[in-house]
Amino acid sequence: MNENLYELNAVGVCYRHYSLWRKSKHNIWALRDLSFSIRRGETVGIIGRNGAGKTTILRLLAGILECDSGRLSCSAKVVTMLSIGAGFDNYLTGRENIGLNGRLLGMHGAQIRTLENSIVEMSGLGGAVDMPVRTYSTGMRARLGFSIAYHADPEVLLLDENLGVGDAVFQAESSRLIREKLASRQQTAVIVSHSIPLIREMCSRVIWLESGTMKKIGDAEEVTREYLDHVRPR
Amino acid sequence: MSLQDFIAYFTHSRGEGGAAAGRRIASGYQFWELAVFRTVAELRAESKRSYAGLLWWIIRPLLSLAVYGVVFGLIFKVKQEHFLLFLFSGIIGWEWFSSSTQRCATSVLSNRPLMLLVKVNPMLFPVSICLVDFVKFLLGLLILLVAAAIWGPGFGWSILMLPVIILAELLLCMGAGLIVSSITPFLPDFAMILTTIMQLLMFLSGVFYRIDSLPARLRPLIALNPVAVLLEQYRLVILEHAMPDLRGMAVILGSGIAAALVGRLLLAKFGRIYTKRW
Repeated sequence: MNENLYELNAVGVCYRHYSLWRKSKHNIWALRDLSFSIRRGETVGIIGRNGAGKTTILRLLAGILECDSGRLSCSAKVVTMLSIGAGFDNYLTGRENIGLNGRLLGMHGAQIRTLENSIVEMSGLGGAVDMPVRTYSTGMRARLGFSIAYHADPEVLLLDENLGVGDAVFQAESSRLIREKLASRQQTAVIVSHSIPLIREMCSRVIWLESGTMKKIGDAEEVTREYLDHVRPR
Repeated sequence: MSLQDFIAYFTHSRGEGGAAAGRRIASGYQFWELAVFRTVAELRAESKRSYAGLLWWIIRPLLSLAVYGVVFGLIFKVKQEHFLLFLFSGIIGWEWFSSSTQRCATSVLSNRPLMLLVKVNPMLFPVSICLVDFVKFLLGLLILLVAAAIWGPGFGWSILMLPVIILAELLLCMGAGLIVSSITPFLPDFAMILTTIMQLLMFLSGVFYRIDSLPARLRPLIALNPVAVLLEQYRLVILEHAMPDLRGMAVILGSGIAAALVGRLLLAKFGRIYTKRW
């Protein structure tokens, strides 16, 4: 399948500061003049230094931000950032939070009900799933959040930094699950990471961002090599 | 935001197509399913936050009743048949509007971190707050109806009009909630001013007095306040067994629909730029 899920044409995103009294000049263009496309089933990596606009790209692709210039078209229906535990309510039980968080990640009610047991099982929470989330440790929260996000199964998966969460064992496990998912031909994904080995392993193509503009796009091996040469002090 | 920015926002053509990404949340059914789920979840969470939990939804309006009852019944000696029922009907109707509007004010602002993580329609936050307060109102209404049956005038056929009045208030609450929630992300100070505005509005809404006990020249002014008209309709159908006043119903339904539409438009327009504001 060679269908393009995303097409970006000279896209820019601008953060604005609004002032009540005067016309504001504090506009920050976080992204400028981006043009690329993402095919179905492909895994694209995004690299660049802090503040280069990596997270902004993910938010743009997730539909959280709209572009202020250029044109973006997206034919994917469900796009989610793998955000662990977004909108968890501490006073609700793990099970109730599955319903809340799952819906926020774009799942249907019926879908959540069928997947609930499998989510609980993957999280390894056991009986604790019926306890309020405020009694959870950070690791338990992360495991529950990950299991929901994993089951949400979006058409396009957006990953910021880490693949794995929780303690060493669950980290290895969750990282393996994500890798498996990314390796499948159906899953489209965009990964933001500072880990060049990870990017090289998972991605076919890489976008190198520098202060909001695209410095380079192309074969993962090639772009990351140039990036490292550029970043390393001589 | 200056006036120029405001006008520019509505007139300039902007980048296209961003809204298409993750569009699925925008579908109407899914939005309302999530809103209702979130409402139930919030009610459950709230009931677990204190020892008395659920009981507070009943105790709170009764405490307000005690306070106003002492001040206006015993000290100011307001003359009114079934004064406590009269007062209570005003209190529950007012508390719904006032509490949901004030909580809505900061709802979108405080959920910005969530809006940066998942694609979510910002209307979700004010709408679920209005629904939470709606449920609490229904509990209060139940108490009122039971009390009216025991100590008050009983029921007349006019009680059948009650759902229409409740619907009008729901629209009014949602409209006001959507409007105020769209303002505070740009102007957080508005939440402070709103407290004062609501205080003033309470005294102008006839929570503890009859509109027709006012001097004649003030009455048309009060009639412009939809909350005052609303409380009057509740009392007409519950306590006086009279049909609601047609002009009054037109005022509250009309202002409710108008507010909801305006609020929806504002939040849809501004919701897109909240996430980009710094």
